[in-house]
Amino acid sequence: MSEPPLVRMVNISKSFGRVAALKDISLEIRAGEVVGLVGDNGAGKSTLIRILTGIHTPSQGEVYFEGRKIDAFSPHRALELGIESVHQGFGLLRSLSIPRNIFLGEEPVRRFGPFKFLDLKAMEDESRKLLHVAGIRTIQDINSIVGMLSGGQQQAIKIGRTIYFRAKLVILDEPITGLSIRESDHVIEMVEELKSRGIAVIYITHRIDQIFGHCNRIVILEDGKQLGDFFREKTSIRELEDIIRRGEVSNGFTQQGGVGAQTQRA
Amino acid sequence: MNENVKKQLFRLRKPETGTVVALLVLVAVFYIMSRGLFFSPVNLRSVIRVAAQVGIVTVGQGLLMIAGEFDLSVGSVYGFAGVLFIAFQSSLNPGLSVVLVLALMVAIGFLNAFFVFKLKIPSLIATLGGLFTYRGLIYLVTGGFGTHIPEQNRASALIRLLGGETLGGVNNIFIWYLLFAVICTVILARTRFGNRVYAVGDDPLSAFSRGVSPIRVKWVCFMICSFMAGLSAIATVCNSGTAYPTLGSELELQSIASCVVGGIALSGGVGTIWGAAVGAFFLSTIQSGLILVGAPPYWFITFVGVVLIAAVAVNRVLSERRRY
Repeated sequence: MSEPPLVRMVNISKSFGRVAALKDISLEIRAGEVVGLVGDNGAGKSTLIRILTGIHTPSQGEVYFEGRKIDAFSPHRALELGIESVHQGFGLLRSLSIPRNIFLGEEPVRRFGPFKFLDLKAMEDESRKLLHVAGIRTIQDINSIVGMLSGGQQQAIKIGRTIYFRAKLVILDEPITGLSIRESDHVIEMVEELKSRGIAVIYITHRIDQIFGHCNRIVILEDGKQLGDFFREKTSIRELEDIIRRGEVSNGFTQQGGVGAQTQRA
Repeated sequence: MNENVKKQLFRLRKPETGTVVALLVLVAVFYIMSRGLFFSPVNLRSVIRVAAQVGIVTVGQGLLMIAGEFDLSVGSVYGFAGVLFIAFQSSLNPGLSVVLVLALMVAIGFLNAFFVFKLKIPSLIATLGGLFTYRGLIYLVTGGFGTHIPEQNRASALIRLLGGETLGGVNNIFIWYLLFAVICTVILARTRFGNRVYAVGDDPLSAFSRGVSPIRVKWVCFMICSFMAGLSAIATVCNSGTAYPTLGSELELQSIASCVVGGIALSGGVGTIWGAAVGAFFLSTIQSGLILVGAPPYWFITFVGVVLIAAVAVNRVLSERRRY
C-alpha cells in the first residue's frame, strides 16, 4: 500500500427515523480523481454528500480522510480538512454581499487593540480575484447582494470559492440543474479546471451523460445502496444507464441490450 | 439618468429611509396639531427618554431578530430586573446589585436559548412561557406593591450616572442608548460575529454548511437580548427611583414593533440597529404626540398596531420592487 486514499467511507448507513436513506455504503476517493456519483432521485446521493461535508452524522460507519479517522465531524471540520462542497439549493446567503458570502466563516480581520474588525477591503479585493478565477466578468459592483445574481453566477461563485480556499476534495451536487446551456458549459469548464489543479471531485448527478466524458470513475447508487463502481474506460453510458434502469448489476450485463431492460422497467 | 446617481438612489431605497420619512411626517403632524407644543423642551425630553428606554431593549431584540429569532419575554425580564435591582439593594450596595442583576439577566437569556435549542421548543412558545413566568416572579418578589430605591442610595454616583441627567437636561439613559446602539451597529457591520448574525438569520442551513453554527450565534443573541432588557430596566429605575409590578409590560411588543417599523424582517437576515432606533423614536413620538393632542392614553397601543401592519405592508411592496 502506498498513499492512503483521500477519502474512505466505510460501511456508512444513515436513517431518518424509520427511513433508511443509506445502507452500508463504502466508497473511496483518491487524490485528484473525478468521480461521478450517479443515481435516480431519492437514491441517497444528497445524503451521502451531507455526511461527507459534516451536515449529517452517519448512523453507522466511519469516515477516514487521508488515512485518519474523522470523529466529531461537522461542516467546520470538513472545511478545515479541505472538503468543500457546492450544495444544491443552498450554500449562499441571498441578502449578503458577495464578499460577505465568500468569506463567511473565514472572514479576514484586522486587529485594533483587543478587538478584531472585518478587513472589508481585503474581502473585496480577494473577492474580485475569486470572480476572475471563476470566470465572471459581468459583475460591476462587488458589493451586490448575492440574491441579485443569476443562477449561473451564483454557481460559479460557489465553485470559485472551492478553488480559492484550496480544497482537496470538491463535492458538486447537481451543479447544472436549472442553468442555461452556456452557464452549464461554464460549470463543466470549471470542473475541468478543478481536475487540472489536481483537486479531487465528486460530481453528483442523475444524468450520466453530464459527467461521463470528464470523470475517471462512476459510482451508482440506488435506493440507498451502492450498485456498482466502474472505471470509465471499461464501461459506456449506455451500459450504466441500463444498470440504473434495472436497479441491479446482473451477470453479463455488458452484453444485454438496453432496449429489453427499458421495456422491462416500464 | 447617470449610473452613479441611480446607484445612490437605489441605496436610499432601504426600509429605514421610509421610516425616517414617515417619522418626519408624523412629527410635523403632531407639531401642527399640538400648536407647537411638541417641540417644547419638556416634551422633547420625554420623547427622548421613552425612546431610549424602549430603544435599549430594541437593540437586543433587533440583534436577535436579525439572527432569525425573537424574544417575547423581554417585557417581563425588564420588570424582573427592575424589581430585583431594588430588592438586592436592601442588603447589597448599588454596584454589586447592578452586576448581579445583569448576570442574572444573561442567565435568563441563556435559559431561553436552552429551551429553544436543546429542548427544541419554538422561540414563540419558549419566550411566551418566560413572559408569564418572570411576571409571576415579579409579584413573588414585590408582593404586588411598588418598591423604591433605598433613600441612602439615591445620591450614589452610580445611580446618578445610570439614571441621572447631564447636559441640557438630557437623560443619561439616552446616552446609554446611543452608546449601545453604536456598539451594536459596529458589531453587526464590522465584525465576524455580525456577519454571522446576518447569515444565520438569512438561511441557517447555508450558514451551517460554511462552518458557522446557527445555534451558537443565536444563543449569544438571546443572552445579549436579555442583558439589554436588564440594562434598560436598571437605568429606568435609577431615573425614576421606583419599580412596580407592571413595569415593562407590553415592552416585548413595543420592542418588536420598533424593529419591524424600522425595517428588520421578522424572518431574519435583514435590517439594521439604526433602523430599529428610528422605529423606537417612531413609537415614542406617537405616544407623546397622542397625549399632546389630547387623545385618551389607550389610543397609543391601537395606533402602534395600525402602524405595525402598515409598515410591514409598505416594506413588502418596496422590497418586491427592490428585487429588480
